[in-house]
Amino acid sequence: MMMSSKDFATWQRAVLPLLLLQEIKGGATHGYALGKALIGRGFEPIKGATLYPALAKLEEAGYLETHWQDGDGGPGRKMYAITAEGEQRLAQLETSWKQFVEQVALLPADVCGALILRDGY
Amino acid sequence: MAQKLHNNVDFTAWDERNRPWALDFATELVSMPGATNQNIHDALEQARLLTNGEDLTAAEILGEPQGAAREAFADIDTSVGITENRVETTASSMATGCFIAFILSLVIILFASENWMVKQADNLVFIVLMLIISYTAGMTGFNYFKRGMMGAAVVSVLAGIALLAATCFALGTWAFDTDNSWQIPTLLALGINLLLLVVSGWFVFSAPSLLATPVDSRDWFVRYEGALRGQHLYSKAEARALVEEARAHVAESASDPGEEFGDPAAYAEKMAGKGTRSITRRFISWIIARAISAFALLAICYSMAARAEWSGLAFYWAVGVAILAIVTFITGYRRDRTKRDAALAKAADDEF
Repeated sequence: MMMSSKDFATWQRAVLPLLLLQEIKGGATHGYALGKALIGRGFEPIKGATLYPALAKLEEAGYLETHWQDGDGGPGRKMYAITAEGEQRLAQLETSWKQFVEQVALLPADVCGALILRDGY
Repeated sequence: MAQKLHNNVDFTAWDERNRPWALDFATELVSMPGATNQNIHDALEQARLLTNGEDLTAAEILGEPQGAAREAFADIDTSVGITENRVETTASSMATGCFIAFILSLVIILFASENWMVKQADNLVFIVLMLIISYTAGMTGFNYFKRGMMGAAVVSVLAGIALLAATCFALGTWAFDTDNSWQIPTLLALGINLLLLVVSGWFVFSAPSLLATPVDSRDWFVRYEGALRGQHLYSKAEARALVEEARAHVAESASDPGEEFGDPAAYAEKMAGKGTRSITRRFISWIIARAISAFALLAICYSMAARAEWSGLAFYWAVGVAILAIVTFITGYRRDRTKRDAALAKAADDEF
């Protein structure tokens, strides 16, 4: 059965901090480029209304640091870079995600079916 | 009037080698006089059709982005955008004029009243309150005007004028402490003003929701900065930085800020978050708002007590001002709460 984009978007929203930290670990970048990079990895487009508050929370938690870059005549760009704390947090999130995926994979097929019937998704 | 225009441009539709040029071109288009989402979208689409699949690059065909943007706008009807600019400029000038008049009135009162601190204190309190309320009514009117709600705009401005007229009557009769006759026209004007505010409220609630009101890009950024600074007490520099980031996103994606970020007040609330800093800011904001209200009510009570003419005109006048303050507070609270709840619900639905 094909996975609906609504399911995908819901799960994507839950792991957005993980995805953002992964992308930023590859090098300092700005919000719009992050959104594009995630689309390039096959994820659903992320609206600015979701993306920037998530980045702001990561910055406030100390996982990201920012600096401004001139915009070549246009608006300046706020560049995000990962901190040492951010790298630790990313490692934690990746471990947790791996465990979660393994647990889901271990669910017997009949349990999955029962859950789908019960909860309707 | 302003229109909410949808123009999510997909830069992946461009040839890959021309995308950097397209981004610069979009940035130039945004800064052109008379730019609207629609004519930016049209210009980008024209440029894409002219350059896609060609052997030459976009820069070779159309030249540098800045020159290309100027040429593109020479061929595109910018009258809508220019009209929007004109309306905004006019409204802004009128609001500035109103504010200057307000400050001048205060200065005149303070310098023209002999021993004002001692004799005229209670009269001055009311005059200042009336000026503040009339200024607020005027500003509300201009905001409605900008959003195309002409009925509410006219009524609000009339309400403001009525109170200003009442203040002029008061200023025209200098014997404040011995002659109360100036209060009669003031009381009449206040009654008319109350009536007008009620009518204004009817216009507001019968008009389409503010959420459904079209918002152009400039207005969106102004409201976003206003929400950050006014409701969440961000400093000017902090608010400007957040606005700059949103502006850069919109310039690069050539999207509509309303479509991309949703309602500016709701987005500001999401950006402010629920952290300790945000709670502290809101608490300070709450304290300031309540302190101003408490001051106004205490001033009214003081004046009533000082006159000790509970059945006189001053009493009814003070009661009128108190009713006006309460009605304004309740209608403002209801409007803000409804608007914010709807915006947050919509934002939750539209997260992706």
